Amino acid sequence: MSSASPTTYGELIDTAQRQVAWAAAQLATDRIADRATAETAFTAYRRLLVVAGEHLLFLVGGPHRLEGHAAAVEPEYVDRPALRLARELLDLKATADDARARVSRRGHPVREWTAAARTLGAAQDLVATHHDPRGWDRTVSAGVLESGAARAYGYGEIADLVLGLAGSDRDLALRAAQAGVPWARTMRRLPSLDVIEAAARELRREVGLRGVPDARPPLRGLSVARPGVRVGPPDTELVDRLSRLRLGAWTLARHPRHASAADLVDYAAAAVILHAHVIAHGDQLGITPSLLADLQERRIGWARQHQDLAGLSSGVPVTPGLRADVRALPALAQATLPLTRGAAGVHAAGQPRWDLDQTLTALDACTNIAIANATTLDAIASRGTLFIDARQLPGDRVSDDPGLVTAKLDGRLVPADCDDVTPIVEAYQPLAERRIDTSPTASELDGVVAAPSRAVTR
Amino acid sequence: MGNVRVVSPRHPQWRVQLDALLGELHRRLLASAVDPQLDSGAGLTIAAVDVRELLDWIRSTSDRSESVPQPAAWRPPADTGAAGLLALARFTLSMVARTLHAESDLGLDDLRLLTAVARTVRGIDELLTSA
Repeated sequence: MSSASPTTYGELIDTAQRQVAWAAAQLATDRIADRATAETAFTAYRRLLVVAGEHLLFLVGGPHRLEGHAAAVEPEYVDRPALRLARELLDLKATADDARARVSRRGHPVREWTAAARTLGAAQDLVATHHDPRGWDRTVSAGVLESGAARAYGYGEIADLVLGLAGSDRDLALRAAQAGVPWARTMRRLPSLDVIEAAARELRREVGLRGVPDARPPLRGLSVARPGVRVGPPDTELVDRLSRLRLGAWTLARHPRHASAADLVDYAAAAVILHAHVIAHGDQLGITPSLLADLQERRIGWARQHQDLAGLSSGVPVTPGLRADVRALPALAQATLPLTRGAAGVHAAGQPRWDLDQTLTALDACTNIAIANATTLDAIASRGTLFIDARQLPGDRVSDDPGLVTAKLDGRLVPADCDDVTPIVEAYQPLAERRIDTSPTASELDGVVAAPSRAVTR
Repeated sequence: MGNVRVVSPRHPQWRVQLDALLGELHRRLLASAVDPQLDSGAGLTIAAVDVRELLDWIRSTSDRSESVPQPAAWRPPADTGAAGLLALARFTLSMVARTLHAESDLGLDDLRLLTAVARTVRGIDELLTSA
């Protein structure tokens, strides 16, 4: 656990841009220390250009998509210039001098270019953490690069970086010559960047013309998969724990054999707690009356789900960590959105530490949880691993089955029937409706986990 | 000149100084471009256009709510000929270098601006020393 915000893809790209800009500024004003550093600078320069090409290829979808994009009748508008630039950069094969060189980190601009290459690699790794070694999604955000707009944002940033880098070639040649590298050798070691610069300008133009439609591109705000919970201020810890609950619900929906009925009870409890605190602060947060009425209905809906799910059980152990997150919620919610309970009901007991945007984003997490939980419940019911206390079964359900009669009398668990589970699955429907759609991540679950629309069949 | 001023975060001292230096450089480039003693008039005219663009850049990205007096610590070289122009270009380059070493919180736009200034004044230096 830490108190720092998780690093995002956008922050790493900004850092790489700044490192390249810093190297360019220093090359424009300062000499390179000596010939050895100048020789190393050529290698670092070429390597950074190749790393930028590898990063572009990663954004496109990897080497295996090169032929696919090339053969596509209608590729995404920016993919073609991005592929062209990637190919040109990757064609900058290492020379014999580069192969011999060991890039030490001494002196400018080697230090900055080496650091920029490492930062670009870290940004690539950050995105890669959202997939497992088999290429399967590990998080809700794993499909971020499937969006053309998200890729366009990344392409634009890399095109900028390449243009900044290409602009330093003349300065590098001059400084190398000043440091004692013979002119003929300088010309041999410096890559020709005319075609690369043209390709980068074309890509930048394409991205600029079409634009990145989202003011906050999802790729820019992407952080490492499954970041730790920030401890310290309760409002940020609450955000992180809700984010982890949302991710956990999504993961369970994809792997329902690990899910238990008790997990779903815990998720419902978390949603009830959050809704209660938000509703108490409705006026202070500026929530409209219609939205407040909707939240009241959702709170009641979640409470009913909590009650109904508690009647089910399964033989699977509860998911580790989930209960700890849910148990931490009441105190965190109380510190963030304090409330008091009295004879007249529940009221705010202080100023909220969240603004409306943060609150709506948190509520959106509950919507995502409802979508995922419905899928999970449907799946585990279909596997026949859900049980119900026979004492809860109504008389007309057991009267025709001697086995159920005995079970009801003995108070034993019996396999849950679709008649027992279907109403609970369907009750997720109003909780999963996106009537609160303000979060940039609101649509991320669409297409990944279907909203509940069908009854349990088995 | 020389009055105590509050410098806003978007208009730090180095931007004030760079603004003054580029303004003076632009004025002298225009004057030198028509000097019959110099055979690099065309190059100096182009350099004047480049410096004008840099001035527009720095002014469009600075907070211009306050007046920008010439920094008291700096006086333009008295020589108004080629030697004075060269001294001015070199002083501007050294000022950019000092800024890079002294300022730890330069943003991406700041770095790009300083790089462009350094390349332009170095070009003027090369033009004058090769003429």
